Amino acid sequence: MDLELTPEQNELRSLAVDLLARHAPRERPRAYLEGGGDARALWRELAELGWYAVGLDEDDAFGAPGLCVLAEQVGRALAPTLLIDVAVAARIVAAGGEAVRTAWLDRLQTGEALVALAVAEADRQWPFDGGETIATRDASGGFRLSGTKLHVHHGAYAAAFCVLASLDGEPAFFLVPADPADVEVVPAHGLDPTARSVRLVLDEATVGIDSAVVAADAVERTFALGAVATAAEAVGAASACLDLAIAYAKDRVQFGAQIGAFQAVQHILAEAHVLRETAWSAVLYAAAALDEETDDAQEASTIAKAYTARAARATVESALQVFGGIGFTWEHDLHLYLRRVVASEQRFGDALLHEQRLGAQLAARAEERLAETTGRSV
Amino acid sequence: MRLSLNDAELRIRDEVRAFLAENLPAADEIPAELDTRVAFLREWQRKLFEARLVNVTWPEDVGGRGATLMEQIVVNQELARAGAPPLIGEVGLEVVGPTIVAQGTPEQRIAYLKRILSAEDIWCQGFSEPNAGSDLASLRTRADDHGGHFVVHGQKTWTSWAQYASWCAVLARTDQDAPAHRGISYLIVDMRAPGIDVRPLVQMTGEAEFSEVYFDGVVVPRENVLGELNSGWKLAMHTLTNERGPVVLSHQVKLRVALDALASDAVRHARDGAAAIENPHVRASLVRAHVAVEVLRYHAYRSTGAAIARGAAGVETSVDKLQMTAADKLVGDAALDVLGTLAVSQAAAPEDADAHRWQHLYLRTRASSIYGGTSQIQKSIIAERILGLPRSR
Repeated sequence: MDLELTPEQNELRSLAVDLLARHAPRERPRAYLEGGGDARALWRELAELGWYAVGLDEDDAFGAPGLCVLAEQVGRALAPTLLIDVAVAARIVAAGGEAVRTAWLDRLQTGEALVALAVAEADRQWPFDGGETIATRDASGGFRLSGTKLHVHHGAYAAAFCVLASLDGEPAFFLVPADPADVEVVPAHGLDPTARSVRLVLDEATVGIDSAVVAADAVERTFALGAVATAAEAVGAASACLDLAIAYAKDRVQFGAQIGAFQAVQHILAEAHVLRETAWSAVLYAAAALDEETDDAQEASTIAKAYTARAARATVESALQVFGGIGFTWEHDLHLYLRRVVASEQRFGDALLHEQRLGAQLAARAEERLAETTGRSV
Repeated sequence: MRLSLNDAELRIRDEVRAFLAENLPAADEIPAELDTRVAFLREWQRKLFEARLVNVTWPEDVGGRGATLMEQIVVNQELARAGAPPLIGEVGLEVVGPTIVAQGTPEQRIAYLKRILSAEDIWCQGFSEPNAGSDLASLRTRADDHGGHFVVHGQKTWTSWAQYASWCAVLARTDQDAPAHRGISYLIVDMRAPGIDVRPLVQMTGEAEFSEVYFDGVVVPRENVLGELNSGWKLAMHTLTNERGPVVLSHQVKLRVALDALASDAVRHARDGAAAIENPHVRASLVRAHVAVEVLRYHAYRSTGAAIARGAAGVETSVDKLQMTAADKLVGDAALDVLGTLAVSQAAAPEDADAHRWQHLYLRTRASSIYGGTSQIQKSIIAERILGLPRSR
């Protein structure tokens, strides 16, 4: 039993710190806020380093915790990337048949095809049954897709979309190239400017037979991995924001003293520290559990996302309270962190969605246990 | 990174399971009345000691196995999962013993450690005083130096198991003129010595686990100083930051077992005409507790691993303590939410036995943010010693 990062994972983390310091300095997210911003140089380097494939291969030295370490650093830097999207899409493709693997897997792993996940719909963060986007088979053996997907990150730059749709009443994923003849990409100006999110409108979009993954269990497994990686990203963002608040508390003087000397302020920061540390533990445990396929892996990922969604937001809000009025200004970076953690909550299910799932599991287990004991006594 | 158990961890787990298969008493065998209960628990710990399953991380020469913290965690989790009785010698095992292992003279190690493991000696801890709780360094119990011995005067409180203890680890002032932290020594005091008066205190649960202890001219031989004279504060801090992982993780399993039972009760008990668990607010309350209890486990694994890698526990254990408190309180809160009107029913009726269990759990968990350093003290430790904020005003 050991939840320490391995030397390889630690090395990956420090390489990521260096890379993001070069490509995603503090002023980068602000450029997005002001309507500019272009991270394609960062994306090229992520591809050259092979980091879109971290943890994908079973024998790789990094595993799911490696992906989480990268996502954490991406969150810390508020870097605009499709890292998690591509990682999840690659795992979806890996669960598919030979044709789709041949057509897509290599291009995803190398970062040649940057794929954005297109899952959420008007009132559902993650429609497990495929949702209102409908896939039908066409005469050529391929598929036609119709529906609208929301909050698709970096949709203007993505080479293709990994779309969750309903095929014959079952959930399935489809890789849809960003061909203007087939898809309409509408800028959405979402809460998090660094996500550059779009609305994706599909109207009888054509998908080849080599671009579909019909594997219902892939929906659940990729959802779990995406939830944990997104949780890692949120912890990174919240933790970086907390560090800024701690530094500010040592610097800012009121009543003739650094405000960090007041217990009222100290305890806000200490509580936030507890949240970020425990949330990071939840992420690492869940990531390791997914790799080792433990009995509690699915539940651990659900807990990690539910807990982290609340913890990350609370941490950034605590930082805001310590900054006071200056933290509430447009000029201050605080709201960029807040926008990132709230946007992360919505991806792969927010706290409520995961808590609801946990509640159903808890109740089912309790009923089972009771049925067993009653059964025995009868 | 590895969640599965290694060979040594698997071996000791199987050993505990085999021991439990032979020796685990049924729940109704554990006496309710305190004196007979304590005698029963001493016998239970002696059996475990004879199987060399108590404090396995202690060195072999004092009765341990020199095992890893993770192996200790495995032992504790197995015992907790099986619903095994608690170890009555907890103060010696978790608080005083580790300090003697680290700082005791060879004679002190021989005199005390094996007897702690076997529960031949129960220990109590004489740190807190009526006017020195969170501000422990302001303690006023004094030990006057008479050359070959010290004479102790003062009063200690919140002293768990004092009425059954053979020995007490007492913090007393041995230099009246030194600054608060510098004049304190760590003394091993014989509870059978003349001049000691133990007065049990009944806590809000109705039990008398702790006492007030009065020292009126108690003679303590010089060789009963632990560590160096006037270095007691440092030793006490060692005690308070001693690795909590194994304790936290066995506590976690108990919370897990309690929460599972509570969820089952939520299926059986009705609230407003339907099973309590069908009420979305009750369910949400159970989920909050469930998440906190599992996160406690994840975090304790990571913090214990970090302590092993660092070679020592440290102030980081304050995070574990606060998460444990959060989990404790949420489980207690969930109990009240599930019970509804049963929360205040009399425990006399047999059909309300479960209600009594949850009432007791609710009351007991209220102490979690107070004992072992209050939540406020833990937050101040985190603020100043982890986050590097200025000393508070």
